[in-house]
Amino acid sequence: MKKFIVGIVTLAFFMVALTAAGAFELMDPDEYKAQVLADLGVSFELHEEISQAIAEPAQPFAVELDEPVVIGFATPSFDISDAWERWYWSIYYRLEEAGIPFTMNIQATSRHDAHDEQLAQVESLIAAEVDFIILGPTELDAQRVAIRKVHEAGIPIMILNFSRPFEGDEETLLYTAFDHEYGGYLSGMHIAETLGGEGKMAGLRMIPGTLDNQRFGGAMAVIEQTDIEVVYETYAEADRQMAYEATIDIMTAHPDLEAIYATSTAMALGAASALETLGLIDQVAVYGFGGTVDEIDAMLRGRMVGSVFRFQDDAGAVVGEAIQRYLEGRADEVPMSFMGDMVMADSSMTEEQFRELAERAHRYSQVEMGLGL
Amino acid sequence: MNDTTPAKSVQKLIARLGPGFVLIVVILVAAFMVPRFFTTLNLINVLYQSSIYIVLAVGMTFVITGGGIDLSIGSQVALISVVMSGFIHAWGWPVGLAMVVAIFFGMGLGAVNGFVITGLRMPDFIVTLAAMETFRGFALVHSAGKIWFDFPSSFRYIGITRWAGLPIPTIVALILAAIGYYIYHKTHFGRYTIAVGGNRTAAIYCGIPVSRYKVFQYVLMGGLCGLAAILITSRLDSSQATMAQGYEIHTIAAVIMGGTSLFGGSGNVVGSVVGALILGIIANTMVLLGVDYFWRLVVTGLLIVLAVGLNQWRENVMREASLEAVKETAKESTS
Repeated sequence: MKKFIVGIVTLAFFMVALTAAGAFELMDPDEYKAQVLADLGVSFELHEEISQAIAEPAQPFAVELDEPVVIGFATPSFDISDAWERWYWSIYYRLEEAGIPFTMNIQATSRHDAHDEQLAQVESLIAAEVDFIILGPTELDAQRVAIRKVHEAGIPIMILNFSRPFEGDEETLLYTAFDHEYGGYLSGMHIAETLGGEGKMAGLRMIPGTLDNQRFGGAMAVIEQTDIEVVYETYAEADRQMAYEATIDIMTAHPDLEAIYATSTAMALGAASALETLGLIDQVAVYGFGGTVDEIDAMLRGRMVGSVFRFQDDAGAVVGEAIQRYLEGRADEVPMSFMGDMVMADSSMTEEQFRELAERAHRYSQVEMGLGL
Repeated sequence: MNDTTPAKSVQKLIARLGPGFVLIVVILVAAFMVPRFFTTLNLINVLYQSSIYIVLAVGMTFVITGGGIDLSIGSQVALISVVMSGFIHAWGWPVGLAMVVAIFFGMGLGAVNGFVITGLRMPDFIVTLAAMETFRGFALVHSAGKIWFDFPSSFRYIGITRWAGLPIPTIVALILAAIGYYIYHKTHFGRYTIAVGGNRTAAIYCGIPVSRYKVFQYVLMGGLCGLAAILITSRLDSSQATMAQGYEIHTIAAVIMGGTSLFGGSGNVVGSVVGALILGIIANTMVLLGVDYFWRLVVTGLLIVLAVGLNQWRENVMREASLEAVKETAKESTS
């Protein structure tokens, strides 16, 4: 049923998009995923098998352990959005569902670009002799040293929020994320459709780096094929207030702007607040990224037009599943890359439709954080 | 009458140990609470993690003792790092040349700070605050969105190799601290720095070229930012314009914990090294203990206040001891 809903929403969007904007060539989601996985050398069948497995409740853990498994969890700051917290709870409850005894040592950096701080934390986790490390890198390329050190220590590591391994990495157990570039691509298609292929838009970007480049670049890959002009883009550091102020300035310079694409939730909400203050919320279509609780609320209230909705708990549940398979001696049944499902959500959807999406997306984390609706 | 009660003696001993006492307490607490703290691997980690801050803290000790402050060091490190990375990656410069240029470039950035402060007679705080933004801006102009990584092995060697069991960055940091100690205590530069920071007007009347020495302090700080940029880039094997944020706060905290007066005129190079180690151990212990991230911030902040408070108390005890000694001497001479 849940798969069916996701399928219908995705299909509906693609049909509308392809009809309205026939000039754009958008791949079918499965085709896109298969191509990316093939490029990465990951078996599509294995990927789909684990994807199916995490859609179901966990199988009972088949191994007797003397002591609880110790897991080190290093994240790039908790306050970017609720995603990290949801991923944490989905790992937690997936492991608990399987009956795996465990403890977690959770770390976060003071800023999400504090590369050296995270390296230091990973080194300390290695010294603490944890059994597994789950790493949400501040930047994948900036944490190669940390990842290599974990490999050298012989500790299985799983990477959160990046789905594409860095060149030469063959030892990481799992990379799991929602492909940022593809999410940007979906956003770009929706913006193009909303603006009818022409008009003016602006971009609010996070922090210069891979993640932002992928989210923004994915959208631009579509926008560049249209007559839409990106009149201004700026970095607002995933900060609500900075985005608010930037939006005020942008609207002063470009009063005829029709869309703002923000690559994070906080910035999208900041932009929406600024537009409300200016009385321009109906003129400018605000797009965010992530389909977080706050964004859903904003879409239901008509403060935002669209956002890529991620099935958040998939990314965490697959980590729990990977740990279980590893402990059961089935590490070869873990694909090195896992790309979580995404669909484009927009303000035309009803609360009931959002609820159906959220029930699957937050099936584990809702225990602690609720559905978010 | 000389007060030699056991309590007084302990007080004096603690005061004499200075920030070293706090370091000992922190180490003992860490060792007591974390069984794995005293493993070789972990101690090496702490040294690795503290090395960059030791390098920066040595430079900052001179700046603060001289009555200044440099808020731009994080931005300097980032700017130097990306420029050096560009030299190595995009221009194919030899690693050695790029590193030498990085240090001179850092000295140049420091000189800019120094000349603006002395030439325009602007407060150090304001100038370096502006420089923090400007240098970061230049770093972003140079490398916005780009991460430089995969450096030549000869460059990475610095960040990953150990000599005699110690990481190269630690050896560099300790040698530098020894040189810094010598300069601070045995050279005109060191003494003039104390004089300028203690009483600028008096220093001028004594004929000390105050502005020149002010510029020297910032040039030294800039050069050390260059060295820190080399060490951190080599350790991370990557470089990005947004890196090294918050280094200034961490470094200033280490220096103040080490016993340097924020108001100038009094500094302690060894204390700054100890301060950097204390912060490194606290951060490391928090991770080993698995302290929740939000609580970690609270605990770290409180421990910094406690350490600085202890230092303040130590200074008071020392001052009282000095006064007592003066009184004793005066009594003896009158009797």
